[in-house]
Amino acid sequence: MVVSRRRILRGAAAAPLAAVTGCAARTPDRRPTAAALEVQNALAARPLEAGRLAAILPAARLNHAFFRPVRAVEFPDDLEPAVRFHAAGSSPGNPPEED
Amino acid sequence: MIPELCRLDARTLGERFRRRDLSPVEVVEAHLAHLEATDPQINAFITVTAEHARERAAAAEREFASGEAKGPLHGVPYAPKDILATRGIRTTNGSRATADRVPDTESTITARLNAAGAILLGKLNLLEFAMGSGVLSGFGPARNPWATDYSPSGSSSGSGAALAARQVPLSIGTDTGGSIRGPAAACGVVGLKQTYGRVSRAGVTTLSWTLDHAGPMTRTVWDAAAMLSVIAGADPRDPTSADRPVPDYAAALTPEVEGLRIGVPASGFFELATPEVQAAVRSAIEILAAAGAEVVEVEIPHAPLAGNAGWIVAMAEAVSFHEKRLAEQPDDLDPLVRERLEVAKFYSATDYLRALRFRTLLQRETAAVFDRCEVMIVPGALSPAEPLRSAAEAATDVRPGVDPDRAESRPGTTFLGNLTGLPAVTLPCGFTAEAPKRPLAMQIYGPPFAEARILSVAHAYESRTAWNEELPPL
Repeated sequence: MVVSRRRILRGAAAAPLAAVTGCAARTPDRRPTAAALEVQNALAARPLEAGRLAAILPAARLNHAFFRPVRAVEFPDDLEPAVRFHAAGSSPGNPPEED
Repeated sequence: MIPELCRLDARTLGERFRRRDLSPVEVVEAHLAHLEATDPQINAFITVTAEHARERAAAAEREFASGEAKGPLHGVPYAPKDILATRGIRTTNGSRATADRVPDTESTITARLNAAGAILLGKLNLLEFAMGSGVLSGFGPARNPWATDYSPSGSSSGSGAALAARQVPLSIGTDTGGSIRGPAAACGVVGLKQTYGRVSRAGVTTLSWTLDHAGPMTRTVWDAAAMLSVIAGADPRDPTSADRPVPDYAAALTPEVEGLRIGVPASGFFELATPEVQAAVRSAIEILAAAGAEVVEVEIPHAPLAGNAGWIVAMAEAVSFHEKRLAEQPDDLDPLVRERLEVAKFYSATDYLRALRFRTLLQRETAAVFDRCEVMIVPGALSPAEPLRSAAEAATDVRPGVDPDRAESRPGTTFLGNLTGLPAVTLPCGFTAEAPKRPLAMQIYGPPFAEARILSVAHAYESRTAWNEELPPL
């Protein structure tokens, strides 16, 4: 049984913003909450059954905690997302005969 | 007792076939009998293609008799992880959800091995969809031949176990965060994750498009090199495959390391490993240094976070790939696969892109390392093989008594290679002193497309030691 979007959004309107943002929180100490998962689930293309949310909440928190140190890394402005998954061309450590 | 014919590596088998002092039919029969005797303990095989193998062996024998030798792997048995599509032969992904799937296409890798005359002996067990528990997957856990209550690691669990048990001399594993190198380390065999793009992914069930690699798992470095030359190269079916010439990697192997600069990280790798692993890998480096290599201290400042960032990338891509299956067949999935996919539905696009930017950061840091050295050596795994988990433990990533909000680390030495695309080879470098005896392993990283170099360094070490000649107690 999937909780209706209307019900979720009605509930979410009264929820603190921190709870609603959940996984997508911008500060390192936020953590997923049941309310946040419900909101996101209601908006998902293929929502999970409502009963699964409580089951996965501890694992969602674990994943959030795993990613927390990466969120804390400061990136320079010129650091773009990787779109090549190996470095191109030769380098001093990679002589042409190995290319 | 492991039969003599099953102890021979692929190089020896191929040489003897070409000299015609050994028959591929004899070798296939010996392996079929050995795996029938041992697989009830090991559970490495999901499917055994006995009749297919017998037919191919008889054909190979005729080809050798008529002087039509195809190359070093001709007549040699192989068995890939059961995540590579094999036309007309079921490809289960280790899952009840796809247990009866019989593809009408062939993976590029198996097509190339078949064309080179290698003989498919069967399909090997794995952690479900390369990300499950290994305990609750569709076909039960593969077991480590060195100690059958222990895990062969994963996700290429059957590949590591079958090679160590001498059930087959050649395998193909897949590696998204370490799934070739982990089982190679735990089982005492050789595992190569080549540069991203060096080998086609066509016909390999996706876990993560940008992190997946499929590569050789063997008992010797020479065999891995020969296998790589067969399977590497551009493929129109995989737009990420690299259009670069494929050298004869086995012919390029040399035991010489004079003047080679070996990078050894000052932090982020060794201190995470058990003291016994650290000592074994440092001892391996000393052997190479005694042969003329120079040791250089290096640093990859953000390497300790590779597993954390890699996990987000892997699981975000996995849930995108499996979204329909998760919605329609959740009860057919390993509970751990289900949990991981369901959790990944709640990752944000912002976090995924942050992880991709982190990949760029690591690429920059590793490029700087390989300006100072030719290869970098780190532990193959942080610890030797661990006991198989109970069903309850295996069903979730959340450990009893651990506050999930404080679990901030996914330590390891392998995800770095997947995030950067760099090649790395893992090989045995010792055994535990404590019973049960289990392998210890080192890992050699190189710059992009330097497979010939890392394999040569691995060969140089292997030729000065004899760890791969030890046999498990079967």
